[in-house]
Amino acid sequence: MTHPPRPVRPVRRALVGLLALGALAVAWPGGAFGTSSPSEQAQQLLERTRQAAATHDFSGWVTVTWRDGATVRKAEVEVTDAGGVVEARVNGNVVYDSGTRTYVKDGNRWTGIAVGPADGETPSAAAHWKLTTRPGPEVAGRSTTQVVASRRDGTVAQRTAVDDATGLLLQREVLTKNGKVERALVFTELDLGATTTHVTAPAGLHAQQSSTITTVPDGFVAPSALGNATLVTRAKQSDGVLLWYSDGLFSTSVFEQRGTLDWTALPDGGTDTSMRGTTMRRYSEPSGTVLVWERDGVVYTCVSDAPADVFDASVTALTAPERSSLERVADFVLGPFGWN
Amino acid sequence: MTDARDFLATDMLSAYLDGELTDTERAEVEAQLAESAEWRAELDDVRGARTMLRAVAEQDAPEGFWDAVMAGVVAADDAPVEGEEDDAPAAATVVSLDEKRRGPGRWIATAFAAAAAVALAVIIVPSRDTVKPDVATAVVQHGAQGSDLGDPIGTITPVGPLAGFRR
Repeated sequence: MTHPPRPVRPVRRALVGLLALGALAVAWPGGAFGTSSPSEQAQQLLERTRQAAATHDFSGWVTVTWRDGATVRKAEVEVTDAGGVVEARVNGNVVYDSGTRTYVKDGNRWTGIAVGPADGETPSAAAHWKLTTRPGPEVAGRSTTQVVASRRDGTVAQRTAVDDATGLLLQREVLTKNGKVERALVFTELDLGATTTHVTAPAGLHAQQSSTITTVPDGFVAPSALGNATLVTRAKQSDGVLLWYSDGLFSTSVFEQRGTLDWTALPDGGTDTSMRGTTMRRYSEPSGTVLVWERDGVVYTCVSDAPADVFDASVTALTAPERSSLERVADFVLGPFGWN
Repeated sequence: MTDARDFLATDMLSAYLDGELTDTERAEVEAQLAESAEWRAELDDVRGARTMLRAVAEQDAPEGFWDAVMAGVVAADDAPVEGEEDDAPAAATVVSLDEKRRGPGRWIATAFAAAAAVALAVIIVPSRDTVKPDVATAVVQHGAQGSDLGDPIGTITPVGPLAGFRR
């Protein structure tokens, strides 16, 4: 089922814009992109997928795999998109994205998550990645075109398979510099057409508040870029600030909270790592990598869907050479008064 | 007697309050307290400081704190003392507090006082909030943020966290 494009529909963009590609795909690769370069064609294909999810209803199953240390984990996720509301179910838990709000149902507990609007342009992926296209694999019985994004050294960072008929993103693989798949998702079943979501977020649900800001409060830091990723959005939340960076292909969220990190409160299963003298806790999750650390009285929780090498290189902007013991004592004593 | 009086300083009064003195030392301190309003005032100060310290919650010093303090103590102890003479006269029978403060043990006392002051500052300075990051929510929000801002890939990422996030 095809809908007119909605002005404010986030999640659907990736999956619905594929229909718009339908006519385009018919002409692929000859006339669709005219005389544009391969990189421009790939960029255009990625941009079209942003509209696809907003204009198509569908239901299906997605297999998510990710590398967690030496272990490769897998999950089967049921996904539906109805009228722009995307719902993902895993073992009775639900992520329910209604646009400006995302709700999470964990058992019987609902949590509302606010999503601030963008206050900057998302950069072009072609500016930092070498993009190429080629015939893709058949995914869920559908023919696709593959968009390959490579690092400057030529190693592949990401492969995405875009449905030729609809423009929906059907497969995504993020790769290490050594060519191993770090995490992947792929539709194993896809049914296009009218569907309905199964759940509705309860009325009166307490939801996190978030408001866009132009500058971060004193004590927080907001570099204009993390590696090649540009700062797109700053938002103030009740317990800190949220920064969102994008390089057009991958994105990184930075949550900053003032205080002392309670390492014992972090989830089990992470591994400790050190970056420029800063101790961090690392988690590998289905949708990305998480790094948590404390520096100068601010606790950072960063999440990124980028390959680990790209993510690690980018967050160095938020770390610093190790401070001396005396400097740390001064930070600790004077920090609460803003004297340092 | 003279040797004992050399240590009749703040730490002596502190030991007196803790009941750590011998009978002889305690008698000497009490005699001095009975004679001198200055000593009694000093005793009140020491007692007040101890009470205040005990009233606040204990807090671990940050990593490296005591190393830094002790480095400062060593440096202060090694530093030359302006105006101090090697052939200083033997202690008098009765030593005033002012003289005591100028005496040869004052650097040790000063160092201890400095350490105590820093420790007190660490204890009474408002402690920073303890942060317990909600990692699972951060992961979901990242996916939601990406999808809502037009990231074609992030659209599906919210499906991930519930698939296997650790509790």
